[in-house]
Amino acid sequence: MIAVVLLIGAVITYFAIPKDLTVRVGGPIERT
Amino acid sequence: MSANVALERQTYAKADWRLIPFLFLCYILAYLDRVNVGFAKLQMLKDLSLSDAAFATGAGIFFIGYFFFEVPSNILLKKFGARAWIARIMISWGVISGAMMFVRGEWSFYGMRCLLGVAEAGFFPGIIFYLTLWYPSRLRSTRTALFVSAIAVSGVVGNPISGAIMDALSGKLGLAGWQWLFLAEGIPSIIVGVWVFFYLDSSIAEAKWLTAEEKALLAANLEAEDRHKHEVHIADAFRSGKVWALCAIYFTLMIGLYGISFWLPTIVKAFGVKGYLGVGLITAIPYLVAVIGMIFLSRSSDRTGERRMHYVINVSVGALGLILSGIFAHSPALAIAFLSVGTLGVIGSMPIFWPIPSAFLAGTAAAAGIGLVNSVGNLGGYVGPNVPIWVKPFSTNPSAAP
Repeated sequence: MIAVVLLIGAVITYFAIPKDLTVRVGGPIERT
Repeated sequence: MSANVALERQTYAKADWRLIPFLFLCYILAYLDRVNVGFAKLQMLKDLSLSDAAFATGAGIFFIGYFFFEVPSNILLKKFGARAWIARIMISWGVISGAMMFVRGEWSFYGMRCLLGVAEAGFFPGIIFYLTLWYPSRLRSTRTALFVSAIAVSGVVGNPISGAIMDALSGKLGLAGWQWLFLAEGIPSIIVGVWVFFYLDSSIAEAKWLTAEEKALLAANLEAEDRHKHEVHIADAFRSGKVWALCAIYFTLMIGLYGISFWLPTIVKAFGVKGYLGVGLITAIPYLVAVIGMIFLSRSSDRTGERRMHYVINVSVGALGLILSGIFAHSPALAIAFLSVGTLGVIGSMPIFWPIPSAFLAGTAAAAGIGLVNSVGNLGGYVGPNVPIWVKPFSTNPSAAP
């Protein structure tokens, strides 16, 4: 059951978070 | 490398060494006091005639108190200052955690767990706020990620210690092992809480360990960022679909985290492991795998700057691990191996997740949004420990959840 919940979270992440969202360490936040 | 860049690196390295290990220690204690009830359960349920359902409710009710007092605690943090308020939070949760030894039945158990949540509310946002006093946002996300990785270390260190306490002190001075556990793990939080008050500085200007030049550099970096800041309205966060998507993602992650954390000692005990120290050592294995895996994952994610697919793949592999741990429940070695994959999937995803909100939520929704994501997401902590209870009537497999 917990596995199913985690998979739902993975699906939401896949569709809700933009593919080009990039977070570089120590550098400015950028969109490539 | 110019002299300025060298000075900046050296100054932030100095601030890192001064602040991050100490805050890491604070979070280890926070997490330990939050989940040690999963270990105490192995004895206290029988002693107090509590059911598994009562345990799950009590474990989860912590997050109800935590949820309702998060915002008031944040307001008071601004009023009293981060240093004093973080010290207050730690001392009060240490006292309540220790006082868990006086629990006598179901309702006092619920009451104390809820109070523990109330006491601890505001700790995580308090630390995040404290980091804003030192680091500009471009440097903060990695520090936050490092800070949340304390959860895995807490499991590696805390579980064997919990087991050793229950084995060594059961029956001493007329107290049960679980009572010693709450007492022994509550006291360090009180001590470190007092230490917080003397160790942490309220501002850069107060820091005696920095030179005047280093103070000026840190302050200038924060001022430069402040000039580009907008006024924050909590309503902006509520209106943002992005914030709710992040709340949903974090909610599922918290269900996984607390579903595993609270039930892992029970699952391991069910394998027939002898002695509480034995249970503690074996429950440390999934966390140890999570610590090692997390280092590789974070390095890969940091090197590429990529978060989304790192999160999706790691959580999905973790979910598969949990499913396989249920299928191979009859083989303890395989079940622990797959539980380790599941634990890595959940805990290893936290440092990957936390840089996402600050990058994803641009503008006014960012600051308020991050608080909302943490508050709503943590409600998954109520659901997580209850999942095995809710699923039980529909499953004949005791390992169906997780």
